[in-house]
Amino acid sequence: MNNKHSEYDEIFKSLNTISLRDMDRDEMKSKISSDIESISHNKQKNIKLWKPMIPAIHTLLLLFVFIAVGYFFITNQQSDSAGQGNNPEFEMTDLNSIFKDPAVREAVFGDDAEILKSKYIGAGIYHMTSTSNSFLVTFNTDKIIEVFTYIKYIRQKGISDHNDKETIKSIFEDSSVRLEALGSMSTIKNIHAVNNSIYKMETAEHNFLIQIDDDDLLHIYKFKESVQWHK
Amino acid sequence: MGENANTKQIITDWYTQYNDEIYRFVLMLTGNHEQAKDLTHDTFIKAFINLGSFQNQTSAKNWLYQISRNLTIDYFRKRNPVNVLMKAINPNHNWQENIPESILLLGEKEQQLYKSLRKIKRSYREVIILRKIKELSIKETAEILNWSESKVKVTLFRGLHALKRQMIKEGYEHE
Repeated sequence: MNNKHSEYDEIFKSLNTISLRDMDRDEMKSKISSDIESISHNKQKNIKLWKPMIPAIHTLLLLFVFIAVGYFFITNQQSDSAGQGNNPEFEMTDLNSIFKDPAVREAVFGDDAEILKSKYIGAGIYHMTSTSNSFLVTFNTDKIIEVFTYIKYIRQKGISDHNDKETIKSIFEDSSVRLEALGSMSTIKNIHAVNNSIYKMETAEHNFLIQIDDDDLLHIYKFKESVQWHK
Repeated sequence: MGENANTKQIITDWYTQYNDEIYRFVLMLTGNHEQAKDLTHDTFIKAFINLGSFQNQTSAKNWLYQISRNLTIDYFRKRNPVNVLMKAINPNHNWQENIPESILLLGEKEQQLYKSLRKIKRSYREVIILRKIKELSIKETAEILNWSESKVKVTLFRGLHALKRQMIKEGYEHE
């Protein structure tokens, strides 16, 4: 059978003459017309209903954005003024309240000197400066606060540009350095990095925190006291 | 308001131009005058509602064909459970053989072809209606059915064979 010239072409042509009766055509036309009117009317009604609400919705949206931005700004500012960056475990207000009590300060720091400055330096460690000394205070998930008292610093050229566990270890392998920096010649048992500028070091006698600054200085802090923290 | 009046005018113009074409197409697919009228009406209403999405990538006529075809497919999908129920109630009645009055008036050959056309696959039926009865081009048919042009050619070839077999089965012999 050929697609172009089917044997039924005449019948197909005849079927293509079917058309709507005039009456049906007119009836359908008026129905389409009235339905279109009704749809348009409903559309207009919806627009009329919503139009007065658009400024109110805009205002609400603006208000919401304003509140969100304000909240973000205020919370950020509080965090900055506390000087602690973002430590989820601990709030600066907790820290201040702990050391507000002179008796606690004396027990922890060894005197009742006033805390002048507190700064979060990462990895759950705060640097605190009192009228008499500097301290590193660590907080861990067991809610134990460990206080390390500043002893002294030693200089090591290039340490601020490149430091790792092995380099720190090699520095303290020298017994004279240990004697000078740690006040004792006892051997190093363990060293591990707390973050990229703080190391924790254990000797047979004491624990130390070593903070490396940008001026090639290694600041030595000796463990002093630990206290249980209750929020 | 002006935009609405313009939209309404477009639909009115399309209706004047294509009402018979769309009605005839739907009638050949459904075989029911009243249903064909309703679906033709729905086609133009749907065109009015969706006129914003009509892009001139296709002609208005082809777009209306596409709408009416989709509406007809939906209609059959919805009607299917009713058909099954009716057949269960009266299995002797052939629900496909109701022939619209306009076709009865044309003559016996037309009735016979129409009856056979109703019994072949929907894809064959659609392509025969568009290509042979409506005499649309291969390109237009492909656009309406959303097929490739080669699919239109192959399906038409197979469809005409299927129609011929059905005609013979129904006892019609072409002179």
